[in-house]
Amino acid sequence: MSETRPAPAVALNAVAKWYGNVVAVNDVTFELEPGVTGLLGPNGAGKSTLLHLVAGLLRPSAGRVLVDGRPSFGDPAVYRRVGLVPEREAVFPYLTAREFVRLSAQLQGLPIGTGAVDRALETVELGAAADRELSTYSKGMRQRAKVAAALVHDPAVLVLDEPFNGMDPRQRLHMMALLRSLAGRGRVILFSSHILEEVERVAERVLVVVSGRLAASGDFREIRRLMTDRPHSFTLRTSDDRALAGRLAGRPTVSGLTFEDGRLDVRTADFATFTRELPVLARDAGISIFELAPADESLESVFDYLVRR
Amino acid sequence: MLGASVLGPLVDVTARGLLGRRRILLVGLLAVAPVGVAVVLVLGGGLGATAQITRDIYASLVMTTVVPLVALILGTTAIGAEIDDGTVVHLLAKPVGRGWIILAKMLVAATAGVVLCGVSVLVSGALLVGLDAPGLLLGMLAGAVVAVIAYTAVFVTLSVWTGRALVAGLAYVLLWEGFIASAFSGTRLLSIREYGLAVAAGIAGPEKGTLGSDVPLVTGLVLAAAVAGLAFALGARRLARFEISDAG
Repeated sequence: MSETRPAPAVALNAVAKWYGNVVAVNDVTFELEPGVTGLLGPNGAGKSTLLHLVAGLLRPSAGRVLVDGRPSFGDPAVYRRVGLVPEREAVFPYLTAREFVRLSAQLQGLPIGTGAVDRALETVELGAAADRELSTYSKGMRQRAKVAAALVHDPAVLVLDEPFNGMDPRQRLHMMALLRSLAGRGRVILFSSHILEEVERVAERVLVVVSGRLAASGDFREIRRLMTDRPHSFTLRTSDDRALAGRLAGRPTVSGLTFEDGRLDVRTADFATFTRELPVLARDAGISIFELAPADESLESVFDYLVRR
Repeated sequence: MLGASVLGPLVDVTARGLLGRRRILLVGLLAVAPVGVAVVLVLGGGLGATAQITRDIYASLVMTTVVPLVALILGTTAIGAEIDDGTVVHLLAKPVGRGWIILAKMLVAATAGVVLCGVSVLVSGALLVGLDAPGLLLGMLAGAVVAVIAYTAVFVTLSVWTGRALVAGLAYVLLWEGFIASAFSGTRLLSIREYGLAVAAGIAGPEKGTLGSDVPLVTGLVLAAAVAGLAFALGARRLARFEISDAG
């Protein structure tokens, strides 16, 4: 007798989204279970598009997006289970935070007087400022107000688009602790960020999105190892580039060398060994190193590597 | 999904948003215009002509310009402004039937329009004819109310279908209502202005004078209701398929 596996909380199957000739997301497949999943990628990678697809705000051009086994788009009932914190700062400026969260509670059908609004505001530490209009709030406070509104109905799935934007370090730490706490209570948390360190600190699982594609997935250690073990490029200026190049050419850690305009570019597939060997080689040859700079440390080049891998 | 219990909160947030926007001042100015014209005429004298002038002002200023433009600004702001600034996501990401959202927007826009245009018609009419023609005043009020309700429904729906609702609505008011439907009798069955004039003339009865329309009273009422109903259905359907990208 076969067991029927319960539907995952969130499932994307070969999902694509395009606008005319522009492909925002292409062939993305993943499932989410309770815990924190970070969606990492450079700006314009398609993270927000994916979050909006999960949150039922966009119809997939291809594939399926399911929340508890039901299509997320076109079914407002899905929002009983989903809480969304959108990236855009826009909130109703003429409402106080309390009114904003209360509106969310009312539209979720929560009975008045259960304390859900106060609890949500206290959770994000907005209790003291709750009766001020949102137009007077800082960016970080508006972010927290949006989180409170998304949490008021205790959703099973929480989707947050760049939730740490505008927050000071203390608020960021508090938010990270909140997300971990919610995940510990069995909630499915999906958030996006273009900052690896933010994702590392709170996500148990990382999905790396580049140019609309899922470039890598796994726990953050696996992702960090992929990023560290990738080929690296360095630019060197020395007292004798040609001589140093001759010594480097024979090393198995060096995969490429280029002379250009008084500069030596070196590619290596073993970052750790190369950085140990280089000073020894230069010292033994009596060559002074004036400058050693990484040529491809930007996150974009890291993401580019993950896509081409 | 939730039912009528969401209507109150939706109406509240819409009303607060609508009345707090600067463009409500423009709407107020439009609504005051007929009153200003009446004041000028009364101060200028000529009691014998005021009943006819009242009808002329109603047909050419109130029903051709003030009512449709007031409805256009209110109707396109009620949800259009929230779509433009992105706050609509806080309403759509909720287990609320899209029909309730559209209904709340239409109710608020129509109520504001009815109040503004109704007061404008009554005050300007009373200034010109006093209480000598109560049937005319009542007819003009009824016609304006019917037209405002139908117009706001159309413009709320238009702002869900296109991001250029204000331009599209203006083209409709100026070209269709202001010229085509006035000039060509065959098109009057498709003119909300004609529905309003039909109701005004029908309710005014013997005091209608030159006020009138090719459209009979009952036909005007039924068609106005049909237009509002169709607008509601199309608006709710479109909102159910509305997509919000990360660009808002």
